[in-house]
Amino acid sequence: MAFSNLTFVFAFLPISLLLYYIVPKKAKNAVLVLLGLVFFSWGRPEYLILLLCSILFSYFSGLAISNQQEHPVRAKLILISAVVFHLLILGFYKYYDFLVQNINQIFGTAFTTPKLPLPIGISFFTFSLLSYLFDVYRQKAPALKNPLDFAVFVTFFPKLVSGPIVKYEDMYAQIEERTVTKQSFGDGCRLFLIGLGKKVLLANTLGATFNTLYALPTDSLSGASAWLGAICYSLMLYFDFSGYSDMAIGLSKLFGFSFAQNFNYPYMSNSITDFWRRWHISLGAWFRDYVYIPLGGSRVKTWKIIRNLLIVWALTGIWHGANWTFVVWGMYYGLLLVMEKFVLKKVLDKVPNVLRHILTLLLVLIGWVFFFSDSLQIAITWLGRMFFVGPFLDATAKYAFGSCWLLLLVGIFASTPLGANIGSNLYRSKSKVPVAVCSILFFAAILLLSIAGMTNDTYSSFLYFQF
Amino acid sequence: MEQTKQPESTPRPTPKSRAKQRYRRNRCLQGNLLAALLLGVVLVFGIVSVGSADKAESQNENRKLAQIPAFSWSGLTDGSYFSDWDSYISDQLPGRDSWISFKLQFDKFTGKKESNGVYLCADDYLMEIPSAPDAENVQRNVDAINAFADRHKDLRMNLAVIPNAYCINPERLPKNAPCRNQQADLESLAASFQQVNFINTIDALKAHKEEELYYHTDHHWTSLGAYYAFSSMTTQLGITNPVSDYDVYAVSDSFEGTLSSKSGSHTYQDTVEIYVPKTSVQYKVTYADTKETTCSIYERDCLNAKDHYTVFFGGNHSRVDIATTADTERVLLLVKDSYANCFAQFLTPYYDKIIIIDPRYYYDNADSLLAHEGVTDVLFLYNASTYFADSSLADVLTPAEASQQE
Repeated sequence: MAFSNLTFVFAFLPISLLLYYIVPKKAKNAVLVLLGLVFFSWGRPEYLILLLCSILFSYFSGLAISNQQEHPVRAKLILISAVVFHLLILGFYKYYDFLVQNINQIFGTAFTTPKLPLPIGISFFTFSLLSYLFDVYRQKAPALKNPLDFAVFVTFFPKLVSGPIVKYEDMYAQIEERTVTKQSFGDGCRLFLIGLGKKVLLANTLGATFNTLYALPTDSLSGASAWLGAICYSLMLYFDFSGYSDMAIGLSKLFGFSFAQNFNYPYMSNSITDFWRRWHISLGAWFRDYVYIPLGGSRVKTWKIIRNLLIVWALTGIWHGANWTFVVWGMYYGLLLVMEKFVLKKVLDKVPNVLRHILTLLLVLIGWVFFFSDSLQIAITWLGRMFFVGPFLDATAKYAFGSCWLLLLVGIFASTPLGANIGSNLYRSKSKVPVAVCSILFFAAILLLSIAGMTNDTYSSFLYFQF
Repeated sequence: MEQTKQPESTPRPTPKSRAKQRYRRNRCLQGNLLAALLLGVVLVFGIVSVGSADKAESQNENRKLAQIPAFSWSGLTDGSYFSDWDSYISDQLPGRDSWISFKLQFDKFTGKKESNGVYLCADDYLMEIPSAPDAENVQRNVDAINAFADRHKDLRMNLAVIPNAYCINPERLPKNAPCRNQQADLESLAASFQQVNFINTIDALKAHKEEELYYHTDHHWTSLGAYYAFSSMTTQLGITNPVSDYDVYAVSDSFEGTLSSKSGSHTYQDTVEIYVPKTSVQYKVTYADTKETTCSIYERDCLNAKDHYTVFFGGNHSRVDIATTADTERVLLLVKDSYANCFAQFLTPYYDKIIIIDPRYYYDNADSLLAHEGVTDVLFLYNASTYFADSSLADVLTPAEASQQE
């Protein structure tokens, strides 16, 4: 199930809040697990067993690791085998098909694959499970004795299928003891509404323009269309993902959990390093803590740092999807970061901030072209169109721009902290007008328009075109 | 800050700390109000939907609405039980139609110019976004028609492919809207027929482009459009002394057609007119599929249903025979799509018999029909959008022996 869905807003959310708040404290975690399992299996129950088995396996692995703390070698062996087990499951569902395709292409073989649908959220919950194993092994946090508590860590529905990938060490204390205050509940509602608006009003509509442009045959794609498509995609992806994260973090607050932000105005970055501190923060932190630093991090010889960076970014790329485009996208960032760190650092320090900001946005935009293209060939063609190969302006581009320019403007504004700053300045001001009360109008508009948007998405007229 | 800085030693709160306090107070108040807003709206929806009876069908969407799903283990394991709940909740959402219209209005406000494959055009016109001709089937139909005409050189054979609204009124399309050049498509189609006379109706319709030639909310043409097209082609049809007087009746002024349903835009209601030729010729209509016989091509009952265009013949049928008292010794075979439904009213005075077949539902062979019925004239009448996508015309025109050999 997704959060931006009428069933979620009008049934799942009120029912889960009701259940959670009427049961006694001892039963609250059990309620959360139940909700998580229903949320996970909504419409796709076939992988429930897989999820439950993964949870049980990690639960026992975690206990085994903590029992072997006196024997580091044994603990390490258990850790490695458990990690390999999870990576094999992830690999089977997510990468097996891709692997076989490539083998077939290279060796001219004709192996077939079962073409299984991807279990929802497998990349996210696998990384949560791995985080648990690593943190227990590194003794950052104790293993959970109660399987129900452990199940809460994995299946807590706000973060289950699309993150944020909360590290175990950051969440474990809240599993047993957490409080909801009036203020945190209100904050949760605010984040949820903001996220809902980002997703339904901005991401979905900008996504529609992008999809139209992406569906054009490449020979009729003009330069302006290619630029517009890439810009729409950049904003769409940001509002889609950060909207989802906002909703997830907001919902978590309603149940007493407090997670760190997952996006921090990434399009305000003035370097690629900065961008990755602001974009999908929880994933970056995961790779930093569990891959980059164990490999030696930045406290090793330069060539090793470069190697570590490239390993991390190749993995980050492939984590996003089983396609060479994602590998190229990841390596692209790996190389950019190496350049930024070791080659261009002194030059970049002298470049004015505005130019660095523009350069960063341009590089990120190019990255997204690889990210959204279904094949490297499409990506190359698209970039070719963007950089003046072929005609630039045509009617299609004008039409597409005409139908989305206002949303683009709103989107650009909303990807800067300007709105939030205006809000907090108003709160600080001594205005006679009740600022907080007036702001409710704005949020009510977001909510009502989002309901309209979610309803409109389900519009399906039955048409028997009798021409 | 506009205030002057207070000395640090004073015990009174500084402007900065006051601002901070106001910030915290406002944010807290806002949080409480937002919680009330979110929970309140959800609660109101819940109460209203529990308190109101479920609707069975939607007029706007022209379909049955989902009802409370019945539980079953198989539905639970294959996931359909869950998706049925999704459909139920969204279909029965209080004010569903209003929410959808509201969103469409909002989208229009933000600059959107199309909805579900329909252009939202000037003057409340809706036009379907055209797709490219299906080249393979177009060629197949051209070959079949040419071969058919070759076998029946003795018959007067005409083909009219009626342009669609955007071809006649491109100025009503949204600015810069990507659109095929249908006129060019039709011209290149015309060039591919040798034995059949291709009737060009573009000029006749363009001459009256300011009039209501097409419905605002439906993909069909109006009786007025059909009238102008008919008037321009009488010579080619071999009709001398065409009727010049018609009784025109407006039979509906509340028609919301397929494009309205498809786009979700309900900002206009069309008028449906019928043109009854003033002649003494009488006729009898026989429907082959239902074996029913009537003395009118107009079906009044259909005006109570959603699609008022079905007032002509009650919609599409595999074969309809119209026997008349015209006594002209001419028999017309009309091979058509639904654009011909409102066109047929202009043809009744000139033929002893009109046999109307719709190849999408008619599975017999046209050659044998010609032999049995003593056909003298053949007219193919389609609209361009259907014609360029049609895959059933060639089958009807290919003789039985030839199709068996394939």
